[in-house]
Amino acid sequence: MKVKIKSWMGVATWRWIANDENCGICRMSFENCCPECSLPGDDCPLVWGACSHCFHMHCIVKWLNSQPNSQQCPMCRQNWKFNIQ
Amino acid sequence: MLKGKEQCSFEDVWPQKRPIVLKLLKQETVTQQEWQDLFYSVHLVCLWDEKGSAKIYDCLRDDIVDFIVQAQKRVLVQREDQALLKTYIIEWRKFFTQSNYLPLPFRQLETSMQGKSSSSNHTSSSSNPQKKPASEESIVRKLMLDSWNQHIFKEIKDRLQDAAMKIVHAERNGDAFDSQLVIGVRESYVNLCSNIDDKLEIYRENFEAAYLNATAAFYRLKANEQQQLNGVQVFMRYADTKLREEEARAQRYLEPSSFHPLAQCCVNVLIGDHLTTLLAECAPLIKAGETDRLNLMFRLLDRVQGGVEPMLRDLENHIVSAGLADMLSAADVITQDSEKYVERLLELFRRFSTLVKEAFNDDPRFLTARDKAFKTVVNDTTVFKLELPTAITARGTKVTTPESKCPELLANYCDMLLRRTPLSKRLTSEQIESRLKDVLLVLKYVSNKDVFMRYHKVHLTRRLILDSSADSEKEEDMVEWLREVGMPADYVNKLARMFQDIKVSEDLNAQFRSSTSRHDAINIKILNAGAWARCSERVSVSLPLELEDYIPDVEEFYKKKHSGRKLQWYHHMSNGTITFVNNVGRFDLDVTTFQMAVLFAWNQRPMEKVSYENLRLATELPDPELRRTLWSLVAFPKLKRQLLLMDPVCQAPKDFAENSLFWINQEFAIIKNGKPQRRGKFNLIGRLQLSTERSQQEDNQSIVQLRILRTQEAIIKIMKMRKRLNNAALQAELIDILKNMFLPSKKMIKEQLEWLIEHKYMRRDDDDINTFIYMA
Amino acid sequence: MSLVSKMESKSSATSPSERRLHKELLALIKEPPPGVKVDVDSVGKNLQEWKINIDGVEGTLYEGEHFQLLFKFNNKYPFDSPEVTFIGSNIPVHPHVYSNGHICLSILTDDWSPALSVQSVCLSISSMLSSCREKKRPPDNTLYVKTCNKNPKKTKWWYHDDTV
Repeated sequence: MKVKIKSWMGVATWRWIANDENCGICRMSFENCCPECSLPGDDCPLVWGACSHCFHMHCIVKWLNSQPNSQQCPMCRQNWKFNIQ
Repeated sequence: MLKGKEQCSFEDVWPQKRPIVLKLLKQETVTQQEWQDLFYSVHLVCLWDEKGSAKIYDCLRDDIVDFIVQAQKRVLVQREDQALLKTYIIEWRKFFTQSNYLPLPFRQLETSMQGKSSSSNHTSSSSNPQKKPASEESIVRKLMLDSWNQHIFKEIKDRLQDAAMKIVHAERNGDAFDSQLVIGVRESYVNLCSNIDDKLEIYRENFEAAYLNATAAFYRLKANEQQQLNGVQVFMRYADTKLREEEARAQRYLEPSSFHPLAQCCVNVLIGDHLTTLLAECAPLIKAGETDRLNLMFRLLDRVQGGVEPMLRDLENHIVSAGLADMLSAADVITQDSEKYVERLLELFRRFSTLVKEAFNDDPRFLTARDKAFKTVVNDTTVFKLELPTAITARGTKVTTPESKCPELLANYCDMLLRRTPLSKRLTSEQIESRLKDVLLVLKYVSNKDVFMRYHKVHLTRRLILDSSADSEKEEDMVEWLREVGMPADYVNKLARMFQDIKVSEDLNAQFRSSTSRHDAINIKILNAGAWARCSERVSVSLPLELEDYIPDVEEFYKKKHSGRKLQWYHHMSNGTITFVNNVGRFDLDVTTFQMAVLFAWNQRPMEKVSYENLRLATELPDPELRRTLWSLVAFPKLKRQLLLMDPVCQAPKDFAENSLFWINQEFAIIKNGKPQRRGKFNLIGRLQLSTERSQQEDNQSIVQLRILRTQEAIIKIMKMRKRLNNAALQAELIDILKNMFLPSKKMIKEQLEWLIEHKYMRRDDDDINTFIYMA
Repeated sequence: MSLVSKMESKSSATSPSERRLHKELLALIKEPPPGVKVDVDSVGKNLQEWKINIDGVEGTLYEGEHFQLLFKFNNKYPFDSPEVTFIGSNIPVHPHVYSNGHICLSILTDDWSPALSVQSVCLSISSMLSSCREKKRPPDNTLYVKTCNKNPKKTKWWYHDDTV
């Protein structure tokens, strides 16, 4: 008797790898989306700053847009730079 | 001025002119000279004789009355009704014609008299600045008509009416008479009236009243007679015919303003008075499906107040009781077989929709009654119910409210149409489409659509994960149809997202394969957690080594594609095909990953008997999942020879003990026509898996959770808009918002209101605890 | 509790700022930091105005004193800072606190960040008080109180030395 795998279909979901549970701006969990969105996932992505802090993209963009003079990370006040990996 | 005063006085002039007047009354010829003389003389007397106008008027009146008295004698001499009518009409027509000519020469009289008697005419002439035709306001004409009215008409009008009504009566009984006589009488009534504000006054108060009375009396008698003689059914046709006949008769004999009163009168006598008797026939007719008779009844009863409402009730009651009886009689079959259930339901709908169409012309009121009844049937819980926990109390005891299982069965039926099943294979694409549309039709009547949505999503999840859709285009059509019938947008969007995930995963698989030279039989499906059903629970399992090695590759590949994300495996959803080789042959088996994990336990020790306990250690499956998986391998319903054998033999998965032993059935084979085959394919997944034991229980609970959430959301939405609202209005708006999903129970609404108050979303008014105020 | 978070994450009926305020409020009621207490009744009437009682910290100049802060939020919160003033009969005598309750604290205006919260603002104010070495009003108190805007956020603050 021998069993061999002929084919396999693996099913997975994905989640964000964030160093925090909640978004520091809206306080929603990263598992959920920002308060303006309804479906977590691709539509409401997370972004990381060079300082490694992580927010809902919608939240950080809203914050940066409201700050015409300085572009600081809300958590550490370093100059905000999107971390493009 | 040129002539002496004595030549202009009434006494001088009138004796010569009076014969001309008499001639005119008698419709005798007058010469042009006479005609002109009369004009001139009236003019002269009225202008020059101070009392001339009054004297002419008095004299004229006497002459008219004299003439009328003569005419009256000629009429009254007639003993026989028809002769009387005939003579009257002749006299009247003559007189009426003259009433148009005789006033002409008296214009000067009118002018001078109007100065004196203006008070009576004043109001009407001033309120109506438009000049009326001379004949209408002519004093002489009025004098003529009033005199006729007083001296002849009042005396004989009863005889006239009687005679006319006798003719109508005879006509109703089928005897022919001269209808012109009736028409002539009516005309005299109409023309006789000198009241210019209400020209039909005399007609209405006399002729019309008599006509209506006669009609009512006639049919009151006839209707009872007909009913007793021929029964209600025949009577309905009689009433229908007579109503139409009388309408036609009215056209001939009545003024248009009387059509409605007459119709009303006939309806009252023929239908209104027999309402109870007629209505008593309604329910039996509905039951017997007598559409023609019902249609007749509907047409008749729709004409009386309160006629249709009892019919609506009868219809609704009948559909409900027939529908439920139908379901109940087939309870054994339909509770097990969603196809039969839905088809039975649709058959019921078709039957009654046809009835409403044929019997009641799809009248909106009957359609509403039908829909109400359908709703009751669909949501009824006597045949079968779905137990939903309403609240989980602190002690963990569940209170359940039963709900109809209809939405669940509808979703199952949908699944059978959309999945590759014997049913979907049997049907053409068009048939499947029309049946899916049927499902949507029934869904319209389901009050708890959220149950359908949840089950539909579970089935869709299964179809997409197992690639078992019969037609992927139809799958996506269905999503759009659900949108069209008003399913909540966020629900439909999530369904659409599921398809998107599958497409994205296909691309991902293609990229993955080109990135690695290993195993091209591995596929992955990456799902968005929020969109799919039952993604909340993960079950750990020790995968076959072959797969275990493989997982990091996939994860690494995904990480490169999507930075910041990591995969979470849902092995209870994953599945595959294995090749199982034994002494009998070689078989391709579709299995779940759990089944795979269990079978792989024997790969290194194919002949051994392995205990339950050791299998748990080897697979790392949680107890309930291991039991379920083992059971599917020792007792798969469609297999004659099972894959695994057990000792001791158990009757249910819960009977497995720690030391129960399992081993590979070396004689396993797929049996066809009683013979073991050497090759073959078999699907062991069946209806199993994709969900875990726990998630099935959670399913119904999560329906309740979601309802709570939706209710809270809706309350906040309403309160935010209204700011301040009383309980009743809030509940009404709430039900309206939620009706496309479910019917919130009073109890749940109350609980959620309390929750929202406790959490400071709203508060009760200090002065009125039944009024809520939105906070923030 | 899971329902609460679900409610807040999903409810499209409330605005993002309301949702965040709710979250903060529930957290503050549930686990208040020492010496900080929300006046639940005041919040109950209006989610956009909170009264918060704070106690002078033991071992500091304000030990035994009780103060009240008023937070006013607009619908841009947390992208816009709250308006925070001392109110009531006891305004702390402090070099950064004017007698009308206005507070000279940079995180309330220029240095505001959406990562800050009601709780962190309360703790900042509390620690500002605690680090005080001499109870006195700001030197420009009289002039400022006479001329200032009612809303302290309208003041162009020239921030006092942080070290007091």
